[in-house]
Amino acid sequence: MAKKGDMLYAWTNDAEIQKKAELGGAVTALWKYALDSKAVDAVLVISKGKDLYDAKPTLVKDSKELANTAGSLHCGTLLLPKLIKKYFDGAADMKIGVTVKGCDAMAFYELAKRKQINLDNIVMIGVNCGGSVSPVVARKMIADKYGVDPDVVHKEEIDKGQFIIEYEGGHKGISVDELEEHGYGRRSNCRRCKMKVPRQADLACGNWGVIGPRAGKATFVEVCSEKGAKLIDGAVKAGVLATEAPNPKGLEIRGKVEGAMLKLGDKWRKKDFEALGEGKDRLRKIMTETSRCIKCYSCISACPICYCVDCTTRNPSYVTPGEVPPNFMFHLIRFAHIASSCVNCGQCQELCPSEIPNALFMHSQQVELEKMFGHVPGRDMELPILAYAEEREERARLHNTGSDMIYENVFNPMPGKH
Amino acid sequence: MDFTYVSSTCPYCGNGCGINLVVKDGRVAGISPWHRNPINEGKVCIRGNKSFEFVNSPARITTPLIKKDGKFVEASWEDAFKEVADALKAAKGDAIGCVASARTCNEDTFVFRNFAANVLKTANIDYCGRKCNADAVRGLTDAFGAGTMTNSITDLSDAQAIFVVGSNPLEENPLAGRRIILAKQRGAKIIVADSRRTATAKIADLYIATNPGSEVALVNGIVNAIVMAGKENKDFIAEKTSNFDKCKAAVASATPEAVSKTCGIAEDVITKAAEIFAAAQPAAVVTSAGAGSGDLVRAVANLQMVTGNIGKAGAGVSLLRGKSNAQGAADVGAVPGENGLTLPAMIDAAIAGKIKVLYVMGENIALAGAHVADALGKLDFLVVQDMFMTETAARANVILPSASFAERDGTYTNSERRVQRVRKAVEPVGSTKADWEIVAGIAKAMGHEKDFAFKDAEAIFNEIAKAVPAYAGITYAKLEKPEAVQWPAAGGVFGTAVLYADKFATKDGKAAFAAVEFKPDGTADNAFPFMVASQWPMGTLSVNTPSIVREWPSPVVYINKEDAKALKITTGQKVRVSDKAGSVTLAANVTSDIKKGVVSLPANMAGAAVRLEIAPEGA
Ligand code: SF4
Ligand code: SF4
Ligand code: SF4
Repeated sequence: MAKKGDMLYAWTNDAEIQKKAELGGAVTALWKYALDSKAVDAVLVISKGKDLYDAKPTLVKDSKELANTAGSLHCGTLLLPKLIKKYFDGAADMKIGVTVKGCDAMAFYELAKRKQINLDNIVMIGVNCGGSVSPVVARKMIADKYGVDPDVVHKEEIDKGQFIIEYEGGHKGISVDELEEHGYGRRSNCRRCKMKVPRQADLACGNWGVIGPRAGKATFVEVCSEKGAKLIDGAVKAGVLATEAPNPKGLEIRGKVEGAMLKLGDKWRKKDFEALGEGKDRLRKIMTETSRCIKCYSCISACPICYCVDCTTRNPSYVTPGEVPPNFMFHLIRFAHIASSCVNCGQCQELCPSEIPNALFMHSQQVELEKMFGHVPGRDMELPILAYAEEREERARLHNTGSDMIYENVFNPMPGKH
Repeated sequence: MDFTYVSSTCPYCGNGCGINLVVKDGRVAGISPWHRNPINEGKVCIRGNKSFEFVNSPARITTPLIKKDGKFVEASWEDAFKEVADALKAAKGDAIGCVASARTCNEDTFVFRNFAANVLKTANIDYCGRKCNADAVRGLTDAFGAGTMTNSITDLSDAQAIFVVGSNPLEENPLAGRRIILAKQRGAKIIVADSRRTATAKIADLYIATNPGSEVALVNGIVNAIVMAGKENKDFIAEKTSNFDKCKAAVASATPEAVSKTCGIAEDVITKAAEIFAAAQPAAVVTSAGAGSGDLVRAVANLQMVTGNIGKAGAGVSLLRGKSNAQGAADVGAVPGENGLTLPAMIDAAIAGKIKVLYVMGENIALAGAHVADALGKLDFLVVQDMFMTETAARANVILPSASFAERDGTYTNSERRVQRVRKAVEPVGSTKADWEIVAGIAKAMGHEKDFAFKDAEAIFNEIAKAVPAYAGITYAKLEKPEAVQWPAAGGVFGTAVLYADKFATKDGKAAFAAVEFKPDGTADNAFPFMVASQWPMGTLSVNTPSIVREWPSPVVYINKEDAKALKITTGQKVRVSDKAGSVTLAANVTSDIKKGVVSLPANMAGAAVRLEIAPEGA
């Protein structure tokens, strides 16, 4: 019987999955079992859209369709929890299985703290993540640095510090360090990320530490919750999954890989944060960069911490409607509301049409706040100070003060204000 | 529950950003980034971000409407088709005008064009872009051979200098604006000329607060300064161009002194702009198609020939478009046939009683001014095809409700000639139909079923590829890759990113300089002391998108702080803006981001010079 804390090598016995899946197909097999046993109603995974570089969230309800969705996509820079909040009613009455990277797992917790997602209805299988590359950057990088037509590549992966591509007629790897020095490689938030093994998930899976005869044919699984243990036991009992104890040397290697990734994360944090300067200089830099904002609201739409029905940035007393660029208050509001809980998922930066390094700005503030208050976002269900406020109650309280400084109250509009 | 992503193209501006429509249980529930699209890499502006809202608007017209005794009555498609067919049959071909749209798909426009030519037998077809696009397009055709942007939106970020004139990309075509930001981050110098200190002007290294309408003089001045300094690209001019002497003679009078007066700027600004631009290689010009932009386009074409900035990445003339299919509409032939009337001519002919029936597809022409409204009132019969009850639709005899971009298949061609797919994500609301299906329905009611029996949008596109040389070789299958194809398709797997690398598409293969005289289009005087800079007006899609209306609930007039102080006008106050022809009342927005002596209001609202007064109470 598996239990929380167990480490395993796992692979599938299912012939169909074996044909297509990578690393022994453990994750696909676990989802197959979860679907067939009705442990979940559906699984939300990333599958290939128009091509290898096009990551597309796909809802799978029938385990037969799983085989088509297998495989890792390093060009997948999507954040799934916000989709579940927006389009699945926060999993209020549907059990959903989700394959998550570190930032997804953190975002799930932060949304759950804010009652935007019902974690009881979510099963998370985490996958180790060394970082992801935006698709258009990846294509340019493959053309420029590898000298390969991106359209003939059929597989890409990050392994042992290299970004490796397989294509018609060969494979090629270049160290991520070198790529990043030339402005390619992983997204800037991924470089700073230190959530490499998502242990907040029910299971944390990956290829790090799979050595010996099972190398490339099994997945390393760390059991992180009772839910995760039950899933493993069930899948084994159903005959779709086989497990064995990991090679002790493999265990050690996995720790080392993780350690190296964390160190790299620290290196990038130091580099990025130092470049921002301190105090007034930092503020000036942030004000200059954000002054290009065109108020597209993409950062807000995508941020897993933003959930307000009536966003303060749309309150005319703070930010004048239609004014482009908006005054700095627009960004201050985001900083004030989000910084303590930013999980450095990078969405606000990746989606910014004005090329404002929003995630860097927010993340730099988050680490300072963490130093001051000791709160670590995304790791567990510990509430940030701001989440103690219940929105309806708080708005009612503000409304009852009768002050016209209080913003539009969507739940109880003030007469004469709209 | 069903949940899918359907990749499509933003229906708003001519940038053609890729978006994913999020479909939940048969309804468009939102927009999600499509990172894989090469133009915008998942990023969008507020319009792209909210472009699902109008699809679900309760204001959509969902069934055909026939006006009876001044009131619209719901009708079956059969009755509506019959009503329209009878009216069209009763009129002579040359008494019928057809107005195509810059925001319907190529397939719709193509079918509409064939219908006009072969069923209605009228050469009177034009697209709404006539006033604002046609001049600019002709300017490019005359200069280089093809009426289109020379380069790609993506390669703008390779420029070493970018001169933005007659355009405000950060606000109007934001994902093209992003390329300017990227270029700047890579060290490019940005020059912006505008009487408003727009979001684009705010990122400029050199901002030129030129008077509205004086842009041609400014560009001529820059060309002259470059030639005077001997910095013109002599090899390029000798090998690749014709008529340089004409241009040179014409700009000779555009001395710094003269230009500084016309534009209301310091003399050294002109030489500085010329120095920056001439020193950078490659250097790009960004402009947009707007009213009277033909001369400006010719002038900037001269500038790019003088500096040899044509035919390579990071150079060229980037003509940005306001509407999603402004390029495609002209490509597939929504332009007057032989002896056919342009849209303004159709309006005049309607007033004169010569055009009796007007068939308008997807455009709100009534907003173009009082005389258009007059013309619509004089018609015997007006057919309007639209999603919403626009000012034009309200005057129609029959309204035929169109499906939205999310409810049908098709293609848009963006400003950089990229033909991209629009994909059906959900079923049309109510009984609405794709625009081409509606046209085919009328054709059938008129006894022309056979020629209009297209199986689907793809079948029509295959006809376009046969009929339009630029589209030869493009198929829906080729458009499956997110790069799609930039016409001409023969240039490579994804078509041609940069035109004129070898030679120009003109008859002699050379780019043609032109003598572009600066013609002031009316100046301010004592009676009308303020010059007018126009803003983009809100279109049909925007006014039906709550998130956009929330930002821009009603049109405003921007007034310089000092001018406002002198007139005792404050922000929010109602102001009467009058020109020779009449007046409008708008709320004031007092700002330091506009040149003194200039006011700005939405296009079509006033002429070139106006007077301001505080509106009387209750106005
Ligand atoms: S602020 Fe940006 S990086 Fe931080 S959680 Fe929100 S979207 Fe992610
Ligand atoms: S994504 Fe960028 S441009 Fe858009 S609102 Fe946020 S900061 Fe502004
Ligand atoms: S820039 Fe244009 S095409 Fe792109 S999202 Fe905005 S309106 Fe749509």
